[in-house]
Amino acid sequence: MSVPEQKMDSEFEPKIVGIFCNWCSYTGADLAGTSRIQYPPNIRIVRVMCTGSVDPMYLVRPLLEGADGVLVSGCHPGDCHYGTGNYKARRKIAMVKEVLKQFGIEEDRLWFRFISASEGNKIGETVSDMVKKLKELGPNPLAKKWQT
Amino acid sequence: MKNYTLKVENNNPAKSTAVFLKGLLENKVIDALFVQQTANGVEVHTLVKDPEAVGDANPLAPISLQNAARIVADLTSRGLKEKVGVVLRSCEVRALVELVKLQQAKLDNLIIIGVDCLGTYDPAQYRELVKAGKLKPQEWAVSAAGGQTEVDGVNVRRSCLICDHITAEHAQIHIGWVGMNASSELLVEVDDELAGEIEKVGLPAGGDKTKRNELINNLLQSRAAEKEKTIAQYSERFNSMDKLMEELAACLKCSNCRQACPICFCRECVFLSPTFQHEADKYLKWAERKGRIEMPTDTVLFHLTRANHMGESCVGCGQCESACPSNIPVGMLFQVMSKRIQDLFEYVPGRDIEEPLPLTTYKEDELEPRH
Ligand code: SF4
Ligand code: SF4
Ligand code: FES
Repeated sequence: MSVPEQKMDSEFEPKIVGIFCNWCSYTGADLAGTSRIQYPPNIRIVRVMCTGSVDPMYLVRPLLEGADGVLVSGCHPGDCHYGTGNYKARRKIAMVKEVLKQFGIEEDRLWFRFISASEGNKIGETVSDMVKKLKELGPNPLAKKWQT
Repeated sequence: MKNYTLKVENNNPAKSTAVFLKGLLENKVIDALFVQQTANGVEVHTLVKDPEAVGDANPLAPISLQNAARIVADLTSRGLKEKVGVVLRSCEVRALVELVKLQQAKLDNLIIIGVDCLGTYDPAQYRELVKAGKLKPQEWAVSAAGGQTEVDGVNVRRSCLICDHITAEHAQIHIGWVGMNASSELLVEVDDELAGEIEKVGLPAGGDKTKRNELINNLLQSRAAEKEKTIAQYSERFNSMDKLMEELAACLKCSNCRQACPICFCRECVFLSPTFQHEADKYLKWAERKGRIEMPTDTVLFHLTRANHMGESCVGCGQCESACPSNIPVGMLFQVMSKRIQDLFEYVPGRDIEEPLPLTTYKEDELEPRH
């Protein structure tokens, strides 16, 4: 993966925490790598066994500690290895967004997507889109707060 | 439900209630009783086997040292072998229903005896009022039956003032005093199935509910309006991260709010678990990144996580707020967050025991993304 050139005046490069399901999106990200699909290096990926297993705490903490965005990605509807984890994750994430909205945190800092193991290209597109969106939003102001 | 009249003498509805509860034990309608009793100037929760030991019962007193649903959960979670009557107010029954759904409590062998509630006082203020003779717990139902809860400029807790429940839901037996002429009679409503048994206790049938229903409806309406207004106010007070941090500045992370919460059901809260016990290096790295960090860390995270864990089931009992040593309006904060969560899933905690918890279920076509 090539590292994009940083401009001298260093344009804002959003930091994204990726939370990817082992059975689909994580493998999809591998595929993106081996197929040399180009996408911005702004994401650090954490592998989980199912999006349904992700406690809201792990979605909130990165944002409180200054990540610019969190991208959760799991199996397509009907494909979750544990049956319905992805549907339940969708509810949990909607709930977390609802709470974050109360405090003026932009909902676009938290994304949920269904991306399968064979959709390396969709990984690339999604990360690119998210980076673009986060550049519009600008840096997460919480990065500098110390009373979180 | 069948209606009965419970006669009151000497301006003392608490006494009549105690006699009625004693009758339930004596006539084996129940084998044991869980009820608040007066002890040393305050009403504490008791578990009673001996009918002679129920004389100090006063479940009508406007005090609730804790949301009793938690105790009932502990009592029932491994199964009850005897029939236990539990005297509970609305917020306690609703919390109990949620705990059943969270598989922390069981309803088998439980007989829910509901009581009317117009609110409970902050325990410290309550004890002062009682000590000074300004509030007579035994006569409370008489003085408050018309809906008036203020005593000597002190009122019930903020969460109670905006509570839009007066009678206790899902009760098999219910003792009503609001809107009654409580110096002469209370209303006892009994599930049809239990009515035969209750007749053994010897209550006369009857009880006119017209005046009562009218008053309750009026009170519920004005409280619902007050609730909407208050939540909107607090929603504005907490509408940015900066404001949230300002409100939480004095939070010492003592966990009292969580301990007092009837819904927070974990045996070990994640915030007290090894997940949050870090090496010094970690803290130093975080401090380096931000220049400084508050210690203990993760105060905002604690509250936001808690909201995401129990918000769907929050019944608004306000016990968290009463337990806070720093006087943080944490109950209001949680009502603001819970309302958003409950509205999102159109879920009302405590409403229906069959209704699944929002996070344990899903619909195929809802929310985003769809594919
Ligand atoms: S805050 Fe969450 S983890 Fe802690 S006790 Fe409550 S539900 Fe459990
Ligand atoms: S009770 Fe008050 S001080 Fe203690 S953790 Fe809760 S909000 Fe913070
Ligand atoms: S196994 Fe991939 S989302 Fe559940």
